Amino acid sequence: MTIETKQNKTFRAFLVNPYIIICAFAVLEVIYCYFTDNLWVLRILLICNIYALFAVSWDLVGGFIGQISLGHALFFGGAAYVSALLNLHFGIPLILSMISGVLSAIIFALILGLPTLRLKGPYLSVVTMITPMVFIAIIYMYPVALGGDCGCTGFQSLANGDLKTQFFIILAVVLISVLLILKLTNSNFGLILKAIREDDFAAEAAGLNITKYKIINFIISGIFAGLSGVLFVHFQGAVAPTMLEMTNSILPIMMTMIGGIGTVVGPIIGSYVMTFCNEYLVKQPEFRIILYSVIAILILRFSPAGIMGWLKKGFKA
Amino acid sequence: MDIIINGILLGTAFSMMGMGFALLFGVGKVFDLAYGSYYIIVPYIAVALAPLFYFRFGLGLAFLIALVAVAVFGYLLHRFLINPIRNRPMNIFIMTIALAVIIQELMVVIWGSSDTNIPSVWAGTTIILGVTVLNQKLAIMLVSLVTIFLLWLFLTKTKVGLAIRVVAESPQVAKIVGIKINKVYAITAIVGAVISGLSGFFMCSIYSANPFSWMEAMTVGFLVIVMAGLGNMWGVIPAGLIMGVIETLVSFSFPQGAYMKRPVVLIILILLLIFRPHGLFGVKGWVEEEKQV
Repeated sequence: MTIETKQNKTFRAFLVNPYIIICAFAVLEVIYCYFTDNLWVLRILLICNIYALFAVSWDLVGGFIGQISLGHALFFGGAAYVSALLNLHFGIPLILSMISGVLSAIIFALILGLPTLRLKGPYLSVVTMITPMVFIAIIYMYPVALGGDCGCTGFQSLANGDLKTQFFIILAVVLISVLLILKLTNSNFGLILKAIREDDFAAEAAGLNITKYKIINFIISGIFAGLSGVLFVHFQGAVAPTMLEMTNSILPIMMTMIGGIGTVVGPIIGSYVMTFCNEYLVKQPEFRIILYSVIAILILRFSPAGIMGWLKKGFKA
Repeated sequence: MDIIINGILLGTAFSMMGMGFALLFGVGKVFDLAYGSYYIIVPYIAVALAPLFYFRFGLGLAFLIALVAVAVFGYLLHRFLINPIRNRPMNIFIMTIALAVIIQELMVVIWGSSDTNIPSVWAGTTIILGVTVLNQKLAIMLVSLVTIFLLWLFLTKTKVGLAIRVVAESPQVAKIVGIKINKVYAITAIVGAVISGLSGFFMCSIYSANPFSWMEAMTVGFLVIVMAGLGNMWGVIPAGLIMGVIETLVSFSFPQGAYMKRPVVLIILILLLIFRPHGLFGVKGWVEEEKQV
């Protein structure tokens, strides 16, 4: 092997290093944001970033430990509700209410994680799918305190509603969280998760405490999903029961599957693809959802490992 | 008494919905969430075609055409989308949801998003054991029972049924003894689609149907088979009955029962799954087996 090809290889490895890709992308976004005055695109990018964090947090449970959770909307919407209601009814400052919202996601993760410990496959999916529905029913039953069908508005928004500042704050939070998750999945912990995914009996025989790792993983995933929910609700300025609905649980799964499951970069790509498709097709309101779903089906059918699998193949060839 | 009879009538319908789903899931071992769309397509096509036939049984003929259409649709879906990536259940899961959404939106574009009504097959009411019951509900029960009986005959008495059961047990063994697996999958896809469409047509004259009710049908099918446990086709009948009775009980006995009926069933299901992680009648270790295949 000559030196040139070796250099070429290291250069390629450098290019596909996920840390570099993510950081470079964030820098590009900052530059774009600094110079542009197109607030519409900025808004879309901001939503993309929030959903990217949400999808990555789903990937931590679905991709790395193989538990197909259909209830991540519980963390997203639950944390958002806690934060918004604390801020609205008790006048707790924004930062504190956001932190308590994220912490409440731990409780939600325990609610969802403890009953599902022993369950597998479709059983697990069903239990995670129906838990948020119970919470939606609770919200409908107390329309005065919890806002009922229409949700509630009137709490503080991030940076008093200045879009550019919001963009920087959210980008920073998302970047740090994603890098943390990436670090986590590349560490010993990530290896253990993959071992449990491949064969939980073997992992248990090797002396790993599966229960502990599953719960910890669920909590971590819940915290990040809750973080994305809290950011979203204080960006949007309104909270509604639709945030808890099943469509909101399926969205991150769709993004992850399209981007590539079990890779942290994949869900981010998926989030950008899906959100941009969704927003750019606004001009054809009737056929927007149809086109969007057709794109999803075509990607899943002809590149089963998602966009990431396709890119990896391209880089190897 | 009121509650029990109404619950049983509802429960048989649930059983039928669960049965089709159990067939698709138990044999093919894939989540075909387009199941709900078969349920909703049939009544819409039937209503749209009915004015074309001027004689008395126009709706019936339109209904038969709709059933054929949905069978073809189920086959095409299986042939071109599901079968090529059968070893990736998650992809199929998301794909079929996307497909169901496409169908929902197409139906909104064509027919609008308001509710549709289907005339009852059998109008009027009957009194059973002192309880007044809609005749349509009795018709649903009869159709469900006949369908379940026919399915039982099909699965146990015919050669194709035997092949289907072998594939459900173990695809590898089926391959060894020379069963054409793809053909079996195609047949189950068609039968499942037809059962779903059948239940959709009869249910829609009691419950209003709109393009969004596929979600409802899919959830019911999913809940019933999970409550029954996977790997056991016949467990869905008692599970469907139990679910029907519980739902009627809750919606009769609380003032805001209509909101509460689904969550109560869900909480009971969660508790059940905590104590019996493989459902009421499920085969233990069925999910793990699936992984190795």
